[in-house]
This record gives sequence, structure tokens and C-alpha cells, in this order.
Amino acid sequence: MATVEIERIAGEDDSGLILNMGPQHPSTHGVLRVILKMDGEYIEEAVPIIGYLHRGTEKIAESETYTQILGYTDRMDYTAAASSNLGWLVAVETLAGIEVPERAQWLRCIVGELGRLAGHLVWIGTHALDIGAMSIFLYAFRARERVLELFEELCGARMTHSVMRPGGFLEEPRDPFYRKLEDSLDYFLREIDQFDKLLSRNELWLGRTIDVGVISGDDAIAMGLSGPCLRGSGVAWDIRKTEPYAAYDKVEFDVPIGTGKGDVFSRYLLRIEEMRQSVRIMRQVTEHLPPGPVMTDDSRVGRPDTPRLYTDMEAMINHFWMYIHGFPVQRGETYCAIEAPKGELGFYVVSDGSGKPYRMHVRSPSFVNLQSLPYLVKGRLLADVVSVIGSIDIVLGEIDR
Amino acid sequence: MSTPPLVAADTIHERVHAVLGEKVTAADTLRNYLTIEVAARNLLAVATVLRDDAELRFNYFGDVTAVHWPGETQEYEVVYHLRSIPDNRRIRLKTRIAAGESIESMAQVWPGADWPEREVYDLMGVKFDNHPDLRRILMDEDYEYHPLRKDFPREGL
Repeated sequence: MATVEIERIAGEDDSGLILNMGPQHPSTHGVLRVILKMDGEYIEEAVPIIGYLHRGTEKIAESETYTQILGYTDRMDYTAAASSNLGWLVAVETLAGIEVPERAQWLRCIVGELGRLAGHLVWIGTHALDIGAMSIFLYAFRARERVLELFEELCGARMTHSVMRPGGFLEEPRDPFYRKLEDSLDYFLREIDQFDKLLSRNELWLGRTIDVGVISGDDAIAMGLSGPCLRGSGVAWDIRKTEPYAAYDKVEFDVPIGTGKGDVFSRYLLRIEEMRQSVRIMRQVTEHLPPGPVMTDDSRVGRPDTPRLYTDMEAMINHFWMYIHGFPVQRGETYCAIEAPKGELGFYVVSDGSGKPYRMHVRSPSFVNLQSLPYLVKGRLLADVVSVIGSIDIVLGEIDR
Repeated sequence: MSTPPLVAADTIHERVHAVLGEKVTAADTLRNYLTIEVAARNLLAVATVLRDDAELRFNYFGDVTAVHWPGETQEYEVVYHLRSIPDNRRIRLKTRIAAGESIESMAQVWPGADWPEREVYDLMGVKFDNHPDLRRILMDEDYEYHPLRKDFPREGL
């Protein structure tokens, strides 16, 4: 792979040093490969090579039912699987016209924000490790362990959980989940404060992040950046506010923009604040969670009660039909986006009226954000590539799909 | 900065109809999402108007993808999702081309279309004219097929 790129950037005269970084380099967060043309310690040109983790999710989705695809979305952004699940479900429910009960909508905010915490804690840990602050990595993963324990309490799985279903949740979470969640909120705040204290005024950290990888707000919009990469440049754009889904229009939270300068430090600062806002949202949800069912009574997607299943022929047929052929979705198309930890995660779904999508396309935030890498590192030092990759916060599972 | 609420699709439709007129061959506002269809030869002109019109300002390239409809004369449907960031508007732009035809690259209007268009070229085989760097992106560079086409089998190539 990539012989064409190497020949192209080496040029006719073959001057300068071509440096290969990845796909097994630890600070490329997976299997990203970057080919760099160097002038001494400075970068003349950077060419990212992706595709090493391509699994053809969009192709596979065409022969799976809408519920089965949920399991594939977990494997896209595997650091925050809950967000990918939520994006898919919002799209399916919009297209099929399924009403989700109020309680499930509020609970989805908890799951979405736990996913954001899980994603951002991996980010702060690995980003700091890349730059040289090694102890943060251990603290971040200790805090993340608490998030994973909460997911374990919620559904039994830790990383790839698919806890939600089209129409709501499979089951009402058990009491220990709520108790443990309420106990954990203050713990999360203490941990976030600790990262803040260790890094935000740390001279080494400031030296490696301030004025590195700068992009202006207008350029960020033109390049299609989203999420923290866009907000770090001073554009307060958050899909939870602009096109609210789940119950985000009923909770209060701020949209932080860091310092607004569009450098690595700004993106760092706003993600730290975003984690605090996540805790704030979860606290509001635990206080105002409305009673009621967590699964829709829409017979197309709702699982029949188990006693009925054994006594009622119709319920049995419905059950088998739903799990073998999937629930039919009316003809049409939809594009639904959510604010994932990395940015705008959009699903474009085309239905031909059957139980499987005719076409499913993912607009993955890391993929679009990564295309700004050559722009952000041009003319900078080699060591800055590492801090810029960390600040874009990429997940290769989502880029390559 | 407080976020403006999402602009209703009907409102955008009126303005789009006023500035584009006959270039729009079909439109609907289902689920509060304005969808317009244009002919492929008008695409670049339409995109420029959508970006530059003072009341529309679609300055953000959200996404591009393609859908394969084998058996139809114009078998590839290319779908764009655009946004206006400060004003919170959204629009879906569609166009159709036949096999072997190419389409103008939107990277001339929005630089952010670069990688998404490479992905469409790689997986669906739609060619974009005047693209800055049209190469495969996810599949290997000497790969022969375009896997998201409907005639590409899921297993057993």
C-alpha cells in the first residue's frame, strides 16, 4: 500500500527525507499511517493513509435487519459505543416512525453521556501519554473503569453493549444501577478536577499544546470539521442544541468552546469542560427521570410479553417474524445526526420497504476531522504531529468502518 | 452565543425555489428535511448559489454518498447533505448519473468534500471531475472493484 503516495511526495529530485509513521505506531491510536516529507525536523507535507481496519460495515448492513445492525455500530467508535448505538437508533426510529417513551428518552441521555465520558477519558489518557504525561493515563483509565462498571451494571457488557433497541430499551435498568450512578457522579467530578490541576497550568503541557495545530473558525467550517475540533475554533455548534434528540432539549447544559483559538490547548480545555457538562446532564436526568415504560408498545418492534408468547399463537408468529425478517420500515430515506464525542455522527438510511435497509451510510466524525491533519501539521515539528493527532481524537474503527 | 432553532424546511424551500427556479426538478419537505433534485450538469452552479446566497448561506459540507439503483437508466444517485452553520438550516441535494458518467466535484465549492468524495469514488465508482486528488481511500490502491455496488456479492467474489 501507499507506494503511489511515497513516489508522489518524494518528487522528481528525490530531495528531503520521507518518514513513515504507523500503522503500528502507538501514538497513531490504532492503525493510522502517516507518510511525512521532512525538511530537517519540520514537516513539508503529510499524507494520511487509512483503510487498514476497513470491514465493510455499510455493505454488511444491506443484508442484516435493522436490529442486527445495532451490533455493528458498537464496533465503529469502540471507545464510546453507546453514542454510535444512539445515532443508529435515532435514524431508524425517525425513518420507521417509532415513538419512544418519555422515560427511555431521558435514560438515553444517561447512556449517551456515559458514552461521552468513556470516549473522552480514553482521549485524555492517550493524548497525555503521547505528549509525555504518563501518570494521567493511569488516572484516566481508573476513572473509565468506573464508567465501564456502570455499563456492566446496566446490561452486563462493558465495551460493546448495544443496551438500547429500536423503540427504547430492552429492559428497565435495575435499582443498583441508579444507586451506583448517583454515587459515581461526584467521583467523576473529582477525577476531572484532578486532570485539570495536573495539566491546565503545567508548563510542559502548555508548551506542547498552545499555538500548535491552529485552525480558524471559518477554515474549520469549510473543511467540514465537527465536534470539539469545530468548537475549539470558537464555533459553538453542538447538535444536542441545534437538532435535539433524546431528551437533550429538556436538560440544561453549556456548550464550551475552550479558548476559541483553535489550537490543541483549546480543544483540550473544552473536552475537560464537556466532561463536567456530561456529569451535569446525568445529575439532572437522575433527579427528573419520569416514571413509565422504557419500551414502546408499538407492536412492530415491541417484544411480546413472555407469558403471552407461550399461550398466544399470534404473539408467537409475531415474535419469530420480527427476529427472522426484521420489522418492515416504510419506503423512504432519512439522514439523522447526533453529537458523538468526536463530532457529528450521521446515518443516511434508504429503505425499500423490507426489514433490511437498501443502503446505509455513515458520516463518521473522525473520518472528516482527520482530513484536516495535513493542514494542521504543515510547517510544524515532527513532535507536533503526535499532539495534533491526539487532539483531533480519532478512532480508526470509525474512520475505516 | 445561543443557538438558533432549526429553520423549518418550508421556509428554506421558498427561498431555494426563488433563487434556483427551474433548475430544481423535484422537491419535498418530508420529516422537516428539504430535499431537492437537480440535473448533474447544473450541480456546480446550484452548489455555488446555495453557498453564496445571503439568505441561504449553506457554508458547511456535511456529507456525500451514493446509492446504486441497477436497472434504471441513471443508475447512480449521488446525495449531498449541507448545513448552514450560523443559521441552522439543512438541505439534501440529489442528482442522478448513468454508469460511466462523471460529476463535478464539490471540493471546488467546499474543501471539506475532499475525503468524502474519495470514499464515494472508492466504494461506488462514481468519478468526480476537477477533484484535487481523486484516489482510492479505504481499499487498496490496486483493488479492481467498487464494493458498494449492488452487483458486488457480499461473499464469494
